[in-house]
Amino acid sequence: MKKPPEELYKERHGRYEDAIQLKEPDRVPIVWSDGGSYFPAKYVGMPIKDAFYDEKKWFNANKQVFVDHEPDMCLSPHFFSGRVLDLLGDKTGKWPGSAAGGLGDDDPPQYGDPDGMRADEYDAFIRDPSDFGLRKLLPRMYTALEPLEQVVPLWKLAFGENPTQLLRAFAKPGVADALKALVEAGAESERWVAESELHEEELHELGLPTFGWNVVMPAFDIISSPLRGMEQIAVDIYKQPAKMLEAVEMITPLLVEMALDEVKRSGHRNVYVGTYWGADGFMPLKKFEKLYWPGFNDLISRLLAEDLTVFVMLDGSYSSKMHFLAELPQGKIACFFDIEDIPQAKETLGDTHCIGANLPPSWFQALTAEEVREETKKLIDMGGKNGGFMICTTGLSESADPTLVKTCIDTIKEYGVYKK
Amino acid sequence: MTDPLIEAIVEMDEDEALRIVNERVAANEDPMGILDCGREALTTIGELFEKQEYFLTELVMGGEIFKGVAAIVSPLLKSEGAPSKGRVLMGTVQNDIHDLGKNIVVLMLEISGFDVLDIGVDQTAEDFIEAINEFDPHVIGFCGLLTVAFTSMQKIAARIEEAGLRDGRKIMIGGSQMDDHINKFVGSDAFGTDAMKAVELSKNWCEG
Repeated sequence: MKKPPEELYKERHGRYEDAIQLKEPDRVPIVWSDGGSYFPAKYVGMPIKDAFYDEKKWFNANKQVFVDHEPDMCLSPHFFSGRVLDLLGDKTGKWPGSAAGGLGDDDPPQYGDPDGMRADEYDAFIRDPSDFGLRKLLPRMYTALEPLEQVVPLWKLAFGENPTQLLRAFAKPGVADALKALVEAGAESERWVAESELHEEELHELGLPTFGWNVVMPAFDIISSPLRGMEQIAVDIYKQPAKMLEAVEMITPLLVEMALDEVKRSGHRNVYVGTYWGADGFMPLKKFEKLYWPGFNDLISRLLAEDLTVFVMLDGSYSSKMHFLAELPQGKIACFFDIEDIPQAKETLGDTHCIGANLPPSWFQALTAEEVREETKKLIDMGGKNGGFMICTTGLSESADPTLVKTCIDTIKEYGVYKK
Repeated sequence: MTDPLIEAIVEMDEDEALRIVNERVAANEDPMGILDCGREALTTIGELFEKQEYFLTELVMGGEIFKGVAAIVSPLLKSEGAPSKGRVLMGTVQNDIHDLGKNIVVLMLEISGFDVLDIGVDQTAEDFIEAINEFDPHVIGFCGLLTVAFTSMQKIAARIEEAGLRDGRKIMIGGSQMDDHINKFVGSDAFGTDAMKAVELSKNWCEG
């Protein structure tokens, strides 16, 4: 007989908590994250376009995936409303169903490098990121918000300037339309957020624990996107490292504020830290130590000091950085590695941090069911010893074969059991 | 490494590199010789990359300095360069618009003496086939950062085969997520996760 949802919730959450606390649960926990892909759309047979234009369908597709695979923790699905992007006239992405066209209904979205911040604008950004965001970044990212370039710096509001003089800027051509676009996009956003909250409640009622959608990136990665773009970052590392560091120091405490705001809203004390530029292959270790590590370490330390559970998604190999990661303060922290790094991570960090493994996308497109089974067992053998280990489905993509995904999950549930 | 221009580029000292270039141009030095120094510097940067002493940032920054050198020197060049080592067709495949990795591969192939046709991003099988017919490449490179690129690559490779254009050519796939499983899935001849691998493969295939 199937256990009641409350019992299942407790059991699954306990499994996840045990691993985070470096204990040995009854089996290796499975954390479900679509990693920003549209696997759920493909899974239920709906066009990817619907993931952008029909919030009920999109969250139901995700629910179906969760219900069928019964993970121990569900990272809440990402969502982008196509209508919000249409209303704002997003300039950096293409998505299926977009008013601007360009993609088929079943094509995955594409995101290019931003035209966010120019090389000579670090000082303006550091001085007042709100002003920079409103009058520079938004007009560059969204066609409908281009008129906002004409708005006065809002810090003037705090200085008691005569409003009759100050507010003239809001009468400039196009500003009213830009504000109208923001209001309409805001209403649309509310619908999606409300649906996501409903979706989370439904999952809880089904006995499925959720993580929330509290996502931050280290300041260095924020400077890369949405601000400078990958190519420009590589040049900035050599041409203006001091400005980058100054920006990192300014951004990091604000990221913690952002995370705490979301904790307050959702009630979840979890935060997901996505990383990009820290991986091996991007910059020499000396540059990493000087430019990336201080902000990254500061962010994680501050989040742990707030007693949050921190998921660090280490995208790419970190094999040369293990000794840095070992310096992170102990706390409720899980570091998720690509599978090649698992043996080294387990050896170096296994006593202090929970180790998570990201499943590689190639398994679900290029292997047979038998090969997936064998690879999954090997992964559990590599990382599972003595607990403190979990597996995350981040590598899923819309091209993943659902049968192979099921094979992998079933193998974790069978082979990942700890013998008591 | 004794030439100060090469040294400045390899050390990522853009100001010094451009100062030396301007000084040499003013002294009427052979522009091709100056450009060759730039190429040699990028080759050294590539070698340091292979030894894992340099990384993506140095490839990009080195390329940036090289572009600055070429912008000063290229208008002064009169003659053609050395004969091509082979023709390489490069493109990011359909549904993927990332081009940073591709651009670095193209630059490193060019400075290594290959004739490269870069057809851009989000390229369909038909785009590749049209380019193969026009350019007659020895090597075809599919680039992709996203996992969705795996399927696009497989489709494009199959269409090239169906069109009878595969014989006598090699296909390489590149991107940070590529591995041996995906190489087999796509039906390509080899995969790489960095720019120098593309140069090594092209050299091996074209120089036999």
